[in-house]
Amino acid sequence: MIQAVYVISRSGIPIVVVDKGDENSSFSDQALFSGILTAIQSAMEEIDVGVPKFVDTKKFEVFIELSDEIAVALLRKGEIEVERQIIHEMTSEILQNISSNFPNIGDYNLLSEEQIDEIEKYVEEMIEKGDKEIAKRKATKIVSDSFW
Amino acid sequence: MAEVVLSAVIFETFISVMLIIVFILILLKYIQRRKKPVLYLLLTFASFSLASLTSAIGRWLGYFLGNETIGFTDLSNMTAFLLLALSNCFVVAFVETVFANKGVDFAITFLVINGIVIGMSMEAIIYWFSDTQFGLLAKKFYIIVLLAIISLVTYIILVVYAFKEAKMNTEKLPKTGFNLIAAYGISVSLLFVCFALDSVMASLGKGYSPFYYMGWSFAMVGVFLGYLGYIMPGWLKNIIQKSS
Repeated sequence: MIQAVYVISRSGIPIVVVDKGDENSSFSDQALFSGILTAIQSAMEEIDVGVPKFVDTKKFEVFIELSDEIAVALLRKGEIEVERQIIHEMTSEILQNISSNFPNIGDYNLLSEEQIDEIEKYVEEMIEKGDKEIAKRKATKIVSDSFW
Repeated sequence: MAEVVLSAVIFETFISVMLIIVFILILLKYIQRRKKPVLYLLLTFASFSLASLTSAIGRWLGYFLGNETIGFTDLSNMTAFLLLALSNCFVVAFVETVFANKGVDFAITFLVINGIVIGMSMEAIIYWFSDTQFGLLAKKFYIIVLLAIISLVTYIILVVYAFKEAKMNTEKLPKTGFNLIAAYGISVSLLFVCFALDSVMASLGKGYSPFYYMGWSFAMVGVFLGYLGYIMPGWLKNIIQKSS
Protein backbone atom coordinates (compact mmCIF):
# COMPACT_ATOMS: atom_id res chain seq x y z
CA MET A 1 0.00 0.00 0.00
CA ILE A 2 1.25 3.46 -0.90
CA GLN A 3 1.80 5.49 2.28
CA ALA A 4 3.02 8.90 1.07
CA VAL A 5 4.28 10.90 -1.87
CA TYR A 6 6.77 13.74 -1.38
CA VAL A 7 7.41 16.35 -4.05
CA ILE A 8 10.72 17.87 -2.94
CA SER A 9 12.79 20.76 -4.27
CA ARG A 10 16.36 19.86 -5.14
CA SER A 11 17.46 21.89 -2.11
CA GLY A 12 15.52 19.50 0.13
CA ILE A 13 12.40 21.54 0.92
CA PRO A 14 9.06 19.62 0.72
CA ILE A 15 6.82 21.37 -1.83
CA VAL A 16 3.83 19.03 -1.64
CA VAL A 17 3.37 16.09 0.72
CA VAL A 18 0.43 13.70 0.55
CA ASP A 19 0.69 11.35 3.51
CA LYS A 20 -2.01 8.64 3.62
CA GLY A 21 -0.40 6.81 6.51
CA ASP A 22 -0.15 9.77 8.89
CA GLU A 23 -2.36 12.66 7.86
CA ASN A 24 -1.29 14.64 10.95
CA SER A 25 2.44 14.43 10.22
CA SER A 26 4.05 17.78 11.06
CA PHE A 27 5.87 19.98 8.61
CA SER A 28 9.07 19.56 10.63
CA ASP A 29 8.91 15.76 10.20
CA GLN A 30 8.28 16.15 6.49
CA ALA A 31 11.10 18.71 6.16
CA LEU A 32 13.43 16.42 8.11
CA PHE A 33 12.63 13.44 5.89
CA SER A 34 13.02 15.51 2.70
CA GLY A 35 16.28 16.98 3.97
CA ILE A 36 17.78 13.62 4.92
CA LEU A 37 16.77 12.12 1.57
CA THR A 38 18.32 15.03 -0.31
CA ALA A 39 21.45 14.87 1.84
CA ILE A 40 21.86 11.13 1.10
CA GLN A 41 21.43 11.80 -2.62
CA SER A 42 23.92 14.68 -2.58
CA ALA A 43 26.47 12.67 -0.60
CA MET A 44 26.23 9.70 -2.93
CA GLU A 45 26.43 11.94 -5.96
CA GLU A 46 29.47 13.67 -4.42
CA ILE A 47 31.40 10.44 -3.89
CA ASP A 48 30.41 9.34 -7.40
CA VAL A 49 28.45 6.18 -6.59
CA GLY A 50 25.33 7.47 -8.32
CA VAL A 51 22.00 8.78 -7.06
CA PRO A 52 19.87 6.16 -5.30
CA LYS A 53 16.50 5.46 -6.96
CA PHE A 54 15.36 2.99 -4.29
CA VAL A 55 15.92 2.91 -0.52
CA ASP A 56 14.76 -0.06 1.56
CA THR A 57 14.34 0.49 5.31
CA LYS A 58 12.89 -1.90 7.86
CA LYS A 59 9.61 -0.02 7.76
CA PHE A 60 9.26 1.38 4.26
CA GLU A 61 10.46 1.17 0.71
CA VAL A 62 11.28 4.58 -0.78
CA PHE A 63 11.15 5.04 -4.56
CA ILE A 64 12.90 8.17 -5.85
CA GLU A 65 12.77 9.90 -9.23
CA LEU A 66 14.70 13.09 -10.00
CA SER A 67 14.62 15.92 -12.48
CA ASP A 68 16.78 19.04 -12.53
CA GLU A 69 14.15 20.96 -10.59
CA ILE A 70 12.46 18.50 -8.24
CA ALA A 71 12.50 15.00 -6.77
CA VAL A 72 9.50 12.75 -6.20
CA ALA A 73 9.78 10.24 -3.36
CA LEU A 74 7.12 7.59 -2.89
CA LEU A 75 6.89 5.63 0.34
CA ARG A 76 5.14 2.33 0.64
CA LYS A 77 4.85 -0.61 3.02
CA GLY A 78 5.31 -4.12 1.69
CA GLU A 79 8.04 -6.02 0.01
CA ILE A 80 6.50 -7.89 -2.87
CA GLU A 81 9.02 -7.94 -5.69
CA VAL A 82 6.44 -7.86 -8.47
CA GLU A 83 5.05 -4.54 -7.27
CA ARG A 84 8.36 -2.68 -7.39
CA GLN A 85 8.42 -2.22 -11.14
CA ILE A 86 4.91 -0.82 -11.07
CA ILE A 87 5.84 1.68 -8.33
CA HIS A 88 9.01 2.74 -10.16
CA GLU A 89 6.91 3.43 -13.27
CA MET A 90 4.35 5.33 -11.24
CA THR A 91 6.91 7.50 -9.41
CA SER A 92 8.48 8.36 -12.74
CA GLU A 93 5.06 9.28 -14.18
CA ILE A 94 4.35 11.62 -11.25
CA LEU A 95 7.71 13.34 -11.74
CA GLN A 96 7.23 13.77 -15.49
CA ASN A 97 3.67 15.07 -15.23
CA ILE A 98 4.45 17.56 -12.45
CA SER A 99 7.57 18.77 -14.26
CA SER A 100 5.74 19.29 -17.56
CA ASN A 101 2.54 20.80 -16.11
CA PHE A 102 4.31 23.14 -13.66
CA PRO A 103 7.44 24.36 -15.46
CA ASN A 104 8.12 26.94 -12.72
CA ILE A 105 8.18 24.31 -9.95
CA GLY A 106 11.94 24.76 -9.51
CA ASP A 107 11.15 28.18 -8.10
CA TYR A 108 8.59 26.70 -5.76
CA ASN A 109 8.03 29.94 -3.82
CA LEU A 110 6.25 31.29 -6.89
CA LEU A 111 3.66 28.49 -6.89
CA SER A 112 0.19 29.73 -6.02
CA GLU A 113 -2.06 28.06 -3.45
CA GLU A 114 -4.23 26.80 -6.32
CA GLN A 115 -1.22 25.23 -8.01
CA ILE A 116 -0.17 23.52 -4.77
CA ASP A 117 -3.75 22.22 -4.35
CA GLU A 118 -3.72 21.03 -7.95
CA ILE A 119 -0.47 19.12 -7.42
CA GLU A 120 -1.84 17.62 -4.19
CA LYS A 121 -5.03 16.52 -5.94
CA TYR A 122 -3.04 14.99 -8.80
CA VAL A 123 -0.78 13.09 -6.37
CA GLU A 124 -3.81 11.78 -4.46
CA GLU A 125 -5.33 10.54 -7.72
CA MET A 126 -2.06 8.86 -8.63
CA ILE A 127 -1.89 7.10 -5.24
CA GLU A 128 -5.39 5.74 -5.77
CA LYS A 129 -4.57 4.73 -9.34
CA GLY A 130 -1.28 3.13 -8.21
CA ASP A 131 -2.97 1.05 -5.50
CA LYS A 132 -5.55 -0.15 -8.02
CA GLU A 133 -2.86 -0.92 -10.59
CA ILE A 134 -0.89 -2.96 -8.04
CA ALA A 135 -3.98 -4.94 -7.05
CA LYS A 136 -4.83 -5.46 -10.72
CA ARG A 137 -1.46 -6.61 -11.95
CA LYS A 138 -0.45 -8.66 -8.91
CA ALA A 139 -2.72 -11.67 -9.52
CA THR A 140 -1.73 -11.83 -13.18
CA LYS A 141 1.94 -11.61 -12.27
CA ILE A 142 1.64 -14.28 -9.56
CA VAL A 143 -0.21 -16.73 -11.84
CA SER A 144 2.14 -16.00 -14.78
CA ASP A 145 5.24 -16.57 -12.63
CA SER A 146 3.80 -19.65 -10.95
CA PHE A 147 2.14 -21.44 -13.84
CA TRP A 148 2.47 -19.99 -17.31
CA MET B 1 -29.59 -49.08 -4.62
CA ALA B 2 -26.95 -51.44 -3.18
CA GLU B 3 -25.97 -52.83 -6.57
CA VAL B 4 -23.04 -51.05 -8.22
CA VAL B 5 -23.44 -50.46 -11.94
CA LEU B 6 -20.46 -51.12 -14.23
CA SER B 7 -20.77 -47.74 -15.99
CA ALA B 8 -20.15 -46.02 -12.62
CA VAL B 9 -17.04 -48.14 -12.02
CA ILE B 10 -15.62 -47.28 -15.46
CA PHE B 11 -16.60 -43.61 -15.27
CA GLU B 12 -14.99 -43.02 -11.89
CA THR B 13 -11.85 -44.96 -12.76
CA PHE B 14 -11.41 -42.94 -15.96
CA ILE B 15 -11.80 -39.62 -14.12
CA SER B 16 -9.41 -40.75 -11.37
CA VAL B 17 -6.76 -41.46 -14.02
CA MET B 18 -7.37 -38.01 -15.56
CA LEU B 19 -7.02 -36.37 -12.15
CA ILE B 20 -3.82 -38.27 -11.37
CA ILE B 21 -2.29 -37.19 -14.71
CA VAL B 22 -3.11 -33.53 -13.99
CA PHE B 23 -1.78 -33.97 -10.43
CA ILE B 24 1.54 -35.28 -11.84
CA LEU B 25 1.75 -32.34 -14.27
CA ILE B 26 1.19 -29.87 -11.41
CA LEU B 27 3.80 -31.73 -9.33
CA LEU B 28 6.32 -31.28 -12.16
CA LYS B 29 5.40 -27.60 -12.33
CA TYR B 30 5.96 -27.29 -8.57
CA ILE B 31 9.36 -28.99 -8.80
CA GLN B 32 10.31 -26.49 -11.55
CA ARG B 33 9.05 -23.30 -9.91
CA ARG B 34 8.64 -23.94 -6.15
CA LYS B 35 5.89 -21.33 -5.80
CA LYS B 36 3.26 -21.21 -3.06
CA PRO B 37 0.20 -21.00 -5.38
CA VAL B 38 1.42 -24.12 -7.24
CA LEU B 39 1.81 -25.91 -3.91
CA TYR B 40 -1.78 -25.06 -2.91
CA LEU B 41 -3.07 -26.21 -6.29
CA LEU B 42 -0.98 -29.37 -6.00
CA LEU B 43 -2.54 -30.12 -2.60
CA THR B 44 -6.01 -29.36 -4.02
CA PHE B 45 -5.53 -31.85 -6.85
CA ALA B 46 -3.88 -34.38 -4.50
CA SER B 47 -6.98 -34.38 -2.28
CA PHE B 48 -9.27 -34.32 -5.30
CA SER B 49 -7.47 -37.26 -6.95
CA LEU B 50 -7.50 -39.22 -3.70
CA ALA B 51 -11.22 -38.53 -3.26
CA SER B 52 -11.96 -39.74 -6.77
CA LEU B 53 -9.68 -42.75 -6.40
CA THR B 54 -11.25 -43.71 -3.05
CA SER B 55 -14.69 -43.46 -4.61
CA ALA B 56 -13.60 -45.56 -7.62
CA ILE B 57 -12.05 -48.24 -5.37
CA GLY B 58 -15.32 -48.37 -3.41
CA ARG B 59 -17.21 -48.98 -6.67
CA TRP B 60 -14.76 -51.70 -7.74
CA LEU B 61 -15.07 -53.50 -4.40
CA GLY B 62 -18.85 -53.10 -4.39
CA TYR B 63 -19.11 -54.35 -7.96
CA PHE B 64 -16.94 -57.45 -7.49
CA LEU B 65 -17.54 -58.38 -3.83
CA GLY B 66 -21.12 -57.19 -3.42
CA ASN B 67 -22.26 -54.04 -1.69
CA GLU B 68 -25.15 -55.22 0.53
CA THR B 69 -23.72 -56.48 3.83
CA ILE B 70 -20.54 -54.46 3.51
CA GLY B 71 -21.49 -51.12 2.00
CA PHE B 72 -18.15 -50.35 0.38
CA THR B 73 -19.61 -47.42 -1.56
CA ASP B 74 -20.97 -45.86 1.66
CA LEU B 75 -17.50 -45.87 3.19
CA SER B 76 -15.79 -44.66 0.01
CA ASN B 77 -18.34 -41.85 -0.45
CA MET B 78 -17.83 -40.56 3.09
CA THR B 79 -14.03 -40.74 2.74
CA ALA B 80 -14.33 -38.87 -0.56
CA PHE B 81 -16.45 -36.13 1.10
CA LEU B 82 -13.78 -35.76 3.78
CA LEU B 83 -11.05 -35.42 1.15
CA LEU B 84 -13.13 -32.98 -0.92
CA ALA B 85 -13.62 -30.76 2.14
CA LEU B 86 -9.85 -30.90 2.65
CA SER B 87 -9.30 -29.96 -0.99
CA ASN B 88 -11.63 -26.94 -0.47
CA CYS B 89 -9.30 -25.69 2.28
CA PHE B 90 -6.42 -25.63 -0.22
CA VAL B 91 -8.61 -23.88 -2.81
CA VAL B 92 -9.29 -21.18 -0.20
CA ALA B 93 -5.53 -20.88 0.44
CA PHE B 94 -4.96 -20.58 -3.34
CA VAL B 95 -7.61 -17.87 -3.78
CA GLU B 96 -6.27 -15.97 -0.77
CA THR B 97 -2.66 -16.09 -2.01
CA VAL B 98 -3.35 -15.19 -5.63
CA PHE B 99 -6.40 -12.93 -5.55
CA ALA B 100 -7.89 -11.91 -2.21
CA ASN B 101 -4.82 -11.00 -0.09
CA LYS B 102 -7.10 -10.38 2.90
CA GLY B 103 -5.28 -12.64 5.35
CA VAL B 104 -6.77 -15.04 7.89
CA ASP B 105 -10.07 -13.09 8.11
CA PHE B 106 -10.96 -14.17 4.58
CA ALA B 107 -10.06 -17.83 5.03
CA ILE B 108 -11.30 -18.55 8.54
CA THR B 109 -15.06 -18.96 7.82
CA PHE B 110 -14.37 -21.34 4.93
CA LEU B 111 -11.87 -23.34 6.95
CA VAL B 112 -14.28 -23.68 9.90
CA ILE B 113 -17.19 -24.88 7.71
CA ASN B 114 -14.96 -27.33 5.83
CA GLY B 115 -13.65 -28.45 9.23
CA ILE B 116 -17.25 -29.18 10.28
CA VAL B 117 -17.76 -31.27 7.11
CA ILE B 118 -14.51 -33.16 7.84
CA GLY B 119 -15.68 -33.79 11.44
CA MET B 120 -19.13 -35.03 10.32
CA SER B 121 -17.58 -37.31 7.67
CA MET B 122 -15.18 -38.74 10.27
CA GLU B 123 -18.08 -39.45 12.60
CA ALA B 124 -19.96 -41.19 9.74
CA ILE B 125 -16.88 -43.28 8.88
CA ILE B 126 -16.51 -44.37 12.52
CA TYR B 127 -20.22 -45.22 12.60
CA TRP B 128 -19.81 -47.32 9.41
CA PHE B 129 -17.27 -49.57 11.16
CA SER B 130 -19.87 -50.38 13.83
CA ASP B 131 -22.47 -51.35 11.19
CA THR B 132 -21.30 -51.87 7.63
CA GLN B 133 -24.80 -52.54 6.21
CA PHE B 134 -25.36 -50.62 2.94
CA GLY B 135 -27.63 -47.59 2.99
CA LEU B 136 -27.29 -46.49 6.61
CA LEU B 137 -25.10 -43.54 5.64
CA ALA B 138 -27.57 -42.44 2.96
CA LYS B 139 -29.49 -40.73 5.78
CA LYS B 140 -26.47 -38.51 6.27
CA PHE B 141 -26.93 -36.82 2.88
CA TYR B 142 -26.90 -33.46 4.71
CA ILE B 143 -23.08 -33.80 4.83
CA ILE B 144 -22.80 -33.64 1.04
CA VAL B 145 -25.41 -30.86 0.95
CA LEU B 146 -23.30 -28.79 3.37
CA LEU B 147 -20.14 -29.71 1.44
CA ALA B 148 -21.84 -28.69 -1.82
CA ILE B 149 -22.92 -25.31 -0.38
CA ILE B 150 -19.45 -24.41 0.95
CA SER B 151 -17.77 -25.72 -2.22
CA LEU B 152 -20.17 -23.72 -4.36
CA VAL B 153 -19.38 -20.50 -2.46
CA THR B 154 -15.62 -21.22 -2.59
CA TYR B 155 -15.57 -21.92 -6.31
CA ILE B 156 -17.90 -19.01 -7.14
CA ILE B 157 -15.39 -16.70 -5.42
CA LEU B 158 -12.63 -18.24 -7.57
CA VAL B 159 -14.79 -17.77 -10.68
CA VAL B 160 -15.57 -14.11 -9.89
CA TYR B 161 -11.91 -13.25 -9.20
CA ALA B 162 -10.71 -15.10 -12.32
CA PHE B 163 -13.31 -13.43 -14.59
CA LYS B 164 -12.44 -10.00 -13.13
CA GLU B 165 -8.76 -10.63 -13.75
CA ALA B 166 -9.46 -11.82 -17.29
CA LYS B 167 -11.53 -8.69 -17.96
CA MET B 168 -8.77 -6.38 -16.72
CA ASN B 169 -6.10 -8.01 -18.87
CA THR B 170 -5.54 -6.77 -22.37
CA GLU B 171 -2.96 -9.45 -23.27
CA LYS B 172 -4.45 -12.54 -24.82
CA LEU B 173 -2.51 -15.19 -22.88
CA PRO B 174 -3.46 -14.16 -19.31
CA LYS B 175 -6.96 -13.29 -20.48
CA THR B 176 -7.46 -16.81 -21.87
CA GLY B 177 -5.75 -18.39 -18.84
CA PHE B 178 -8.03 -16.65 -16.35
CA ASN B 179 -11.13 -17.39 -18.43
CA LEU B 180 -10.18 -21.08 -18.44
CA ILE B 181 -9.62 -21.01 -14.67
CA ALA B 182 -13.07 -19.43 -14.27
CA ALA B 183 -14.61 -22.08 -16.54
CA TYR B 184 -12.87 -24.76 -14.45
CA GLY B 185 -14.45 -23.21 -11.33
CA ILE B 186 -17.91 -23.27 -12.92
CA SER B 187 -17.56 -26.96 -13.85
CA VAL B 188 -16.44 -27.91 -10.35
CA SER B 189 -19.31 -25.88 -8.84
CA LEU B 190 -21.81 -27.77 -11.02
CA LEU B 191 -20.16 -31.05 -10.04
CA PHE B 192 -20.91 -30.37 -6.37
CA VAL B 193 -24.49 -29.31 -7.14
CA CYS B 194 -25.06 -32.56 -9.06
CA PHE B 195 -23.50 -34.69 -6.30
CA ALA B 196 -25.72 -33.05 -3.69
CA LEU B 197 -28.82 -33.66 -5.81
CA ASP B 198 -27.75 -37.27 -6.45
CA SER B 199 -27.26 -37.85 -2.71
CA VAL B 200 -30.75 -36.52 -2.01
CA MET B 201 -32.10 -38.88 -4.70
CA ALA B 202 -30.08 -41.78 -3.20
CA SER B 203 -31.58 -41.09 0.23
CA LEU B 204 -34.98 -41.58 -1.45
CA GLY B 205 -33.77 -44.93 -2.81
CA LYS B 206 -33.03 -43.70 -6.35
CA GLY B 207 -29.27 -44.19 -6.61
CA TYR B 208 -27.25 -43.51 -9.76
CA SER B 209 -29.68 -40.84 -10.88
CA PRO B 210 -28.88 -38.72 -13.98
CA PHE B 211 -27.29 -36.22 -11.56
CA TYR B 212 -24.60 -38.77 -10.73
CA TYR B 213 -23.52 -39.03 -14.38
CA MET B 214 -23.90 -35.29 -14.94
CA GLY B 215 -21.70 -34.64 -11.88
CA TRP B 216 -18.89 -36.87 -13.13
CA SER B 217 -19.21 -35.38 -16.62
CA PHE B 218 -18.70 -31.92 -15.12
CA ALA B 219 -15.71 -33.35 -13.24
CA MET B 220 -14.24 -34.60 -16.52
CA VAL B 221 -14.76 -31.24 -18.26
CA GLY B 222 -13.48 -29.39 -15.17
CA VAL B 223 -10.27 -31.42 -14.96
CA PHE B 224 -9.56 -30.75 -18.64
CA LEU B 225 -10.27 -27.02 -18.25
CA GLY B 226 -8.09 -26.96 -15.12
CA TYR B 227 -5.29 -28.60 -17.12
CA LEU B 228 -5.62 -25.96 -19.87
CA GLY B 229 -5.95 -23.02 -17.50
CA TYR B 230 -3.30 -23.83 -14.92
CA ILE B 231 -0.76 -25.93 -16.79
CA MET B 232 -1.33 -24.16 -20.12
CA PRO B 233 0.42 -26.62 -22.43
CA GLY B 234 2.80 -25.36 -25.14
CA TRP B 235 0.39 -26.07 -28.01
CA LEU B 236 -2.30 -23.91 -26.37
CA LYS B 237 0.19 -21.08 -25.78
CA ASN B 238 1.15 -21.27 -29.47
CA ILE B 239 -2.48 -21.06 -30.58
CA ILE B 240 -3.14 -18.07 -28.29
CA GLN B 241 0.03 -16.27 -29.35
CA LYS B 242 -0.63 -16.87 -33.04
CA SER B 243 -4.19 -15.59 -32.76
CA SER B 244 -2.98 -12.40 -31.06
